[in-house]
Amino acid sequence: MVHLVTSDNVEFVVDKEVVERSVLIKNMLEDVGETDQSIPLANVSSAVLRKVIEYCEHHRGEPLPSADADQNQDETRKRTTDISEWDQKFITVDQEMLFEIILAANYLDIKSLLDVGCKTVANMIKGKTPDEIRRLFNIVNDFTPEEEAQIKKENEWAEDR
Amino acid sequence: MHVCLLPAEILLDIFAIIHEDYNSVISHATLAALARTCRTFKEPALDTLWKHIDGFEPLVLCFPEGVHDRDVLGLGKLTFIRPPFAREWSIFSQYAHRIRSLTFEPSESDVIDDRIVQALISAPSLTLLPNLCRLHWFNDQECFIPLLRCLLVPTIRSLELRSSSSGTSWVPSFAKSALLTSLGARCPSIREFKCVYQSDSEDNSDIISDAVCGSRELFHLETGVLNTQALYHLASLPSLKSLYFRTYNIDSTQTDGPEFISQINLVHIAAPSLFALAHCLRNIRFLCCRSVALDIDLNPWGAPYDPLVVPEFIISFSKHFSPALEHLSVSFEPPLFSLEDEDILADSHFALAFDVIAPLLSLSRLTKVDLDWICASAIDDASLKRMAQSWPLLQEFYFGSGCRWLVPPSLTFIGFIYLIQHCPALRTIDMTFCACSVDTDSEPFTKTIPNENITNIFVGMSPIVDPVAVACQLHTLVPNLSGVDRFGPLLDVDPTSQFRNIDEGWAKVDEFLMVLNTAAKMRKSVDQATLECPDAP
Repeated sequence: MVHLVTSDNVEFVVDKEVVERSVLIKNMLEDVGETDQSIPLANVSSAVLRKVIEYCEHHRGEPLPSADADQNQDETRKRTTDISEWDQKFITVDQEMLFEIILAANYLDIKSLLDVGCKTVANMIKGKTPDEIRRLFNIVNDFTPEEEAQIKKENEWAEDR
Repeated sequence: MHVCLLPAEILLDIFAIIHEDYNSVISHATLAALARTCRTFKEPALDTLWKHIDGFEPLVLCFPEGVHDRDVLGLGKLTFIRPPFAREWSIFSQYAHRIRSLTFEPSESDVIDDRIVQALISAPSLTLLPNLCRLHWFNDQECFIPLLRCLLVPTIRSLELRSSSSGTSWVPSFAKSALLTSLGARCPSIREFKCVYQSDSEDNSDIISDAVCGSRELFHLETGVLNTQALYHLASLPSLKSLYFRTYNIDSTQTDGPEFISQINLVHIAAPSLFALAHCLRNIRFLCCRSVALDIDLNPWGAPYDPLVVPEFIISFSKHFSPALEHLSVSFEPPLFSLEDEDILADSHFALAFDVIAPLLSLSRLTKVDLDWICASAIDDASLKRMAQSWPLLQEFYFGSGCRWLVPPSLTFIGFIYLIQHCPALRTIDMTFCACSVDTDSEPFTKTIPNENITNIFVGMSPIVDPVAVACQLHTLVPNLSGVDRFGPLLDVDPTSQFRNIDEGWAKVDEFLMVLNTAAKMRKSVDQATLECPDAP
């Protein structure tokens, strides 16, 4: 079992096989060897880590993406925006939590969870206008009208095709 | 936590997913919308949107109105009203530096006129697209060669040159040759290079070979004829993983050729004849190659191959490829299945003896053997047994079934059983044999473990006797077999009695297999039900 301590000082005891879906923790354990000491996760809160562990538990035993997979991710490779049913249900959370999960997946280096989070955000954005995106994420338009018009003009080709 | 607080690398990942969506109309429009949503999104969205572009139209449209226009007389082509000024080039440059990949096809060249080309090749910056990594130039027109020259920058990793997106080669010209000979200096870090510089002329071979010799980091090369110097250079590259080239008729009898020492995943060699291929293989050695595909041009007016050349070819092959080889595929282009000349098809001179194939038995790691073009009629069951024992890892086996040979096969159903017995990983069998029932109470039938991977076989022109018995025995050996494919009847040919009514015979096998499979499913259901309710009457 592995002991993890979150930023709000909550300790989690997790099965090694589950927690090793995180490349960061897997490498740490390989470097340190067998230890009873807790691993501090200063960038992850207990609420978020609970969700991350739930994800890792569900995907326990599935093959991890190889290091080569990243290298092969060239321009020709197409990723689908499809998300499995369980993952979709798992990631149906409020925006705050969604972005926290993405950040944690990135920090802990859990490629598949990061992918699920990014795909979810991508699906939320797809097909929307700038106004709709701003409303969706509560973003303030920090462009002047002239700046916005110039970007629109210079990228008009992308709207036509 | 707000979306704008996500690190740029994650925003780039999200935007890349949008870009990779198959509906490019929505993905481009969404990225353009993201770019003007807020300042945080602008740069990652534009970097993603401009990462790959088709043609120069998007870049030309960046210039302010008053610089470009549609030439109504020139069929709506984009043109420059005047040359862009320095401050306007800076707008162009803001977008040009984001481009990593460019495809230029005839449809894109048709929308820009000569003025655009003149202006682009005179751009104030030394490199037009300074971060270009991948260039797919599918265009033959000479007027665009100066533009191509501007795009060949040191950052290029992948380059493909063809006449059009559907074409296979690039038509030679002096301007193109001049450019190719400077390729090594312009793009020293090319890893992937695809260019078949049309025709087999020795001059063109030297041009493309010179370009290849200048590339020291090649990973994948797909080209036409290469000279010896280029082959020596390639053999010295530890980075090379796949190689596709063509060999031609050579008179010289070199004895000491290049030796490829490092591991290559795929070697693909095309040749105008089996003789040329045999000669090529005699002079090149691949010490660590996993997969080889050899293509031979079919002579439309003559015999498909010279049976006297095949032994030399096989010996050269087995000597010059290491036992690490996993895939072996030799095929004719076009394939021999369209051959209908009865004089050739029934000529037993084409039948190859086992001694001819025997040198290949040393390649013990083969998982795929594709020799479907040979006439295997002289190979008997004992010989096939030795082959199966020598290639225990076999998964795909194509042997003598790619042509409608009308020479009666020596192989019988026993040979087929040996294959199933000694190659348990088999999932594809394409072979010709004389299908007749065998004694199911003796070897090898009794010692053969059924193969559940195979669902379909191809038997070419295999004669068949007693379809019902054959179907039952096939079903026992290959329980998941759902059908048997074969050649249809030959038109305008009256074959010997053995080859008559083949189609009908195998159609009966298909029918019986269907019945047997249905019965097996019913039996399985009954067994399942019995297991679930053991007390039921």
